[in-house]
Amino acid sequence: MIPHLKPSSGAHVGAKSSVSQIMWQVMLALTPATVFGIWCFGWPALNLFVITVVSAMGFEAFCIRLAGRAATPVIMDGSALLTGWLLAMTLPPWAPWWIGVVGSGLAIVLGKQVYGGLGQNLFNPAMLARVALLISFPIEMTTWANVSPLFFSDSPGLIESWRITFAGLENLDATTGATTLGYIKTEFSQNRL
Amino acid sequence: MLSFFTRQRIRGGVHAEERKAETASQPIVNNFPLPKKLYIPLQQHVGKPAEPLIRVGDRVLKGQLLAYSQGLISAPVHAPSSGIILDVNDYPAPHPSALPIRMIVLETDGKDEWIETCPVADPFLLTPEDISLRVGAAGIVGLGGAAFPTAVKLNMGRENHIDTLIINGAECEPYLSCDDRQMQERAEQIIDGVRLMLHGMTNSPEGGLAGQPGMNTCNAVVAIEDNKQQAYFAMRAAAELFPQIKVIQIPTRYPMGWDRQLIRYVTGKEVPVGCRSSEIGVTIHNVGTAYATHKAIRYGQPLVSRVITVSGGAVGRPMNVEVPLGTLISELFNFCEVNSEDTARIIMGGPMMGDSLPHSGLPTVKATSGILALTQSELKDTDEKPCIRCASCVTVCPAGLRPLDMANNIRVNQLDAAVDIGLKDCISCGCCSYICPSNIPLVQYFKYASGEVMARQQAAHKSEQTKRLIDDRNARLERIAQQQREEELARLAAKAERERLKAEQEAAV
Repeated sequence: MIPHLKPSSGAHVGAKSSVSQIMWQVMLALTPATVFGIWCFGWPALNLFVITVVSAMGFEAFCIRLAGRAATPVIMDGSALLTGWLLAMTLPPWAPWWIGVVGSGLAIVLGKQVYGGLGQNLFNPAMLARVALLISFPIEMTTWANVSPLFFSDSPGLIESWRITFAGLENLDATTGATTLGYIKTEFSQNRL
Repeated sequence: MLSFFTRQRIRGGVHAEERKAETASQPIVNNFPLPKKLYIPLQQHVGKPAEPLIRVGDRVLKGQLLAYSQGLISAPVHAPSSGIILDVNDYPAPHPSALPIRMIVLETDGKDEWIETCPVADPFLLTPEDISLRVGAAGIVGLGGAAFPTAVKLNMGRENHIDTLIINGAECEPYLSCDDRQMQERAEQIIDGVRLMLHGMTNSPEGGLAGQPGMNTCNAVVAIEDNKQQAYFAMRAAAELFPQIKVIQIPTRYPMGWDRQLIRYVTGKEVPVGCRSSEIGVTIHNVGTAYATHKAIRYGQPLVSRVITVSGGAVGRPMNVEVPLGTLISELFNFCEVNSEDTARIIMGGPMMGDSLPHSGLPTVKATSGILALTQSELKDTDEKPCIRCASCVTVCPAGLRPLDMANNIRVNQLDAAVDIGLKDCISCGCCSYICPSNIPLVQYFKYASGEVMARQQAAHKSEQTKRLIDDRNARLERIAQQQREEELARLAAKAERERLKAEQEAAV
């Protein structure tokens, strides 16, 4: 006779799915757009992407350690990586490095961990961080680079891309910004024009 | 391609790994050695337990009535073999709790001697009422796992206007293949059982002979999942001569065998919430039940044995085997060479809806379609993670519920909120638990909550009863006091009257 076994309710068998698998599926779906985006905007976009993703995982590990838990299994579920990835996809591709770091910090700490971590967040952490960045740093968040694909002669090279990401933009041919349309819309809505 | 657009949609469901091949490819084993002792529970069906009419020490024959059904919804129990009654007492039930229930213990004598049965030469000459009576007396219940007394269903079929009898050959649970094998090997008998069921549901005018053409418009549909090709062909061949029986293939998807899912797919009708299928003119029986009906009516043999799938990773010789009811699972496991060290969980039924059993010293019953001995690697992981609101559970729920919201309400003990969003429509099919990437035991929450809601309702009912009793008692006391006051007043009035008369008499004197 088989000795006492712990009772359990159905289903006794399960699909071979896990949280990290779902995260990887989302990342797989993001890959084409990401590759195309990096190709379009060159090395600075790749720099910002890497910085955002790595710092997101760093903040996640920091918060988990602060809570006295082992960080590795939590990092391995891919959720912090995905949050960083999503955030990077919403940033201006030539934004300075600290936009990525501050954004990741806002996303992971303010958007996710203060609510209790994975699954407890009220809003999408990456989108919360984007909104916070847009309000706090409107100039950096609305400075868009022209398309300058990788390996094109007039695109920034690898070395120059580091200067763009870490030292900020200099001697540009042209810059874009809010047009008077925005100004007019605001003034119209307040009946001042 | 065209069928993709014309086919009625199936709501929810999952496609679980089937793991049926090992048992479905070999014939039903008929030489199971007769166990020395059989443990026969008095309740093997939905409804009231049967009442024993034998005494300890009696010698009984195979098929002899051991306990009679009591109440409207109940079923009798018969002796699965010949032998001596050893005991009528409480023994652990084949249930996750293994709490004791009343059982008859039969010591078999090895002769397996049948009681005299009364075969019927032409059962179509019997009245439909007689068919139900015989099915009821044979102790037949739904053999798909629900164990609802079949005779009650046939009677309901006569009372309501049934136009479609669905024979459920879906067998959508993984591992199980007992219905598949029975359809392959016993197709003609099953089809005969279906015809008898149709006959038993005929709404005949008083005294008239039923079953004649034109009198009965009820048709039968045998629905078989399309992963059971051989069973489908066997059944179609057997049903060829009978235009009122149609054999169809249905897509392989769990839970296709759930009655409402099957009814929606076959007839296109939706059974309303809180209604029985018979109210929309459909009734549903399992293929095993049809076979048992055939045996009961044609040969007068009551339900004393059934085909059980024994499978799972820990089983050395997985098989479908015909065993007498009341056989201990441990004996089945010995016969099928189960490795007890590898067994991580014993399941009665299928791996989606079946109950896990604490040990193997429990008997098989009428509703036991399978016994699985699963190894740890076959089981779902139990390391629960936070819900990431991926909504996989909402996608797969065949009842159209929101399992994650229900579970969240139950977790914070807001059971009423869970009931409001459909807890009572949950059928515990296990699709949500199966698919959940965070391994949240959703069904466990729902089963707990359903039990708790029922307990609370009973407690509320009880306190209401108590309150009514107290109110009644107060009213009664009040009435008695009132009566006493009135009597007192009347007595005083009478006394005054007497004194007045006395005074008058004295005055007259």
